[in-house]
Amino acid sequence: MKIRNPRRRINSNFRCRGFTLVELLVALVVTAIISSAVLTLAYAITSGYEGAEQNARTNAGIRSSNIFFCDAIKNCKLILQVSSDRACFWLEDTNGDGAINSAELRFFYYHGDSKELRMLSFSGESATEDKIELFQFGSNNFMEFLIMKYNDHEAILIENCTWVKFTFDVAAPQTEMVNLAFNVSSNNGEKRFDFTACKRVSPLASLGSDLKLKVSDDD
Amino acid sequence: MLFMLIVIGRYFVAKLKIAKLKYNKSGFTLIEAMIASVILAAAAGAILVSFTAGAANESYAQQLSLAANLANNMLEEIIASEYDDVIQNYNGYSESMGAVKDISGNVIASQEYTNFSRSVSCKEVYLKGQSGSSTPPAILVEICVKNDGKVLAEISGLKGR
Repeated sequence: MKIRNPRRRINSNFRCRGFTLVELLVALVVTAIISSAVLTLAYAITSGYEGAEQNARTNAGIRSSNIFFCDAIKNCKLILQVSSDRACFWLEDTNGDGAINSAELRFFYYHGDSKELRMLSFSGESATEDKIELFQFGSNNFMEFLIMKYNDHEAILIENCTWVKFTFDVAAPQTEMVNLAFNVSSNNGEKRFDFTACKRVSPLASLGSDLKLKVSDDD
Repeated sequence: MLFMLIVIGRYFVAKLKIAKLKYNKSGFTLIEAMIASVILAAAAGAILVSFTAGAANESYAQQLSLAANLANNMLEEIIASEYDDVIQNYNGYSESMGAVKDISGNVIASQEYTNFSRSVSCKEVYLKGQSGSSTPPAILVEICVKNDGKVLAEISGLKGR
C-alpha cells in the first residue's frame, strides 16, 4: 500500500529507493552461482538415475536370460549342437513323432555383429514335420540353413555383450552340462556373468545310431 | 535455500521485535546465521543420505544376485558329476576370497568377484522314511557363498544315486 501511494514515493526515504547497479550486479552474480550449482546437481541426479535405470534393465535382462537358458537345459531332451558361441537344444517331442523337428528346437547364440546374445526358435507348417537327423547338426551352418527355410523367431536376451563363451562337459549329443559365460559392457566398465546348468532328463542310453530316438520321459 | 531460510528467520525475528515495539536494524546475529546453516546442513545431509543409501542398496542387490548365481553354478556342476565322485571331489571344497573359479577351473578375474568366496559340504543322507535301508540314496550338497566374510547365499540340493 505504501509503495503505491505516489505522494509517499516522492518523499521517499531509504526503504523506497530503487536498487543501485552494484546491488543488481551482485544479485545477478549470486543468482548465477546458485543456479549453476543447482544445474550441476540436477545433471548429476539425472545421469545417476539414467545409470541406475540402465543397470536395472541389464540386470533384469540377465535374470530373464538365466531363466530361459537354464530352463531350456534342465528340461531339454537333448543338447544337439555345441560350439563356443552357440548351443542348440531339443526341448521336447511336442508332436510325439519320436523325431527332432525344427519347431522343437531352440538355439542360443552370440550375434557378434550386433554384440547380442540371442535366442532363436522356428515355426511354420513344415517345421513341425521335418525330421532332422543328428548328423545334420554337425554342420556349423545348420542354424543359418534353418533360418532360410522357416519362419524364425528371435529374441535378444542380452545387449552389449563383448564376449560370450559356451563351455560343455562333453561334445554333443552326450552333453550334460552347459556353462555360459559372458561380459556385458556398461558405463562402469565390463561385468562378467556366468551361468551353469545341467540336464535333468536322462540321456541317450537307447539312442540308436541312425537316430531312432527313444528317449523316454520317465528317467 | 540458505537465503530463503535467512529471510524466513529474519521475518520471524522482526515480528518478535515489532511486538516489542523496537525494530532492530542491525545485521544477522551469530545465532541466526548458525541456525540457518545448521538447518541447511541437516537438509543437505538428509538428501545425500537417501542417494548413498540407494546406491548401496543397488550394489548389495547386485552382490546378492551374483552370489545366488555362483551358488547355483556350483550346485549344477556337482549335480552333473558322477555320484560316486561327489563326496570325494566336493566335500569340504572351498575357494578362498578372490579365488572363485569358473567352469574351466580358471579364477574369475573380474572385479565384481574379488570379494567372493565359496565353500561346499556334501554328505550322504537318507530320505524321509528310508533310514532303514542299507545304502543312503542321495547326497545332500550344501553350498555357501560369502562376500567379504559375510554369508550372502546358502543353497542346498540333493544328488540322487
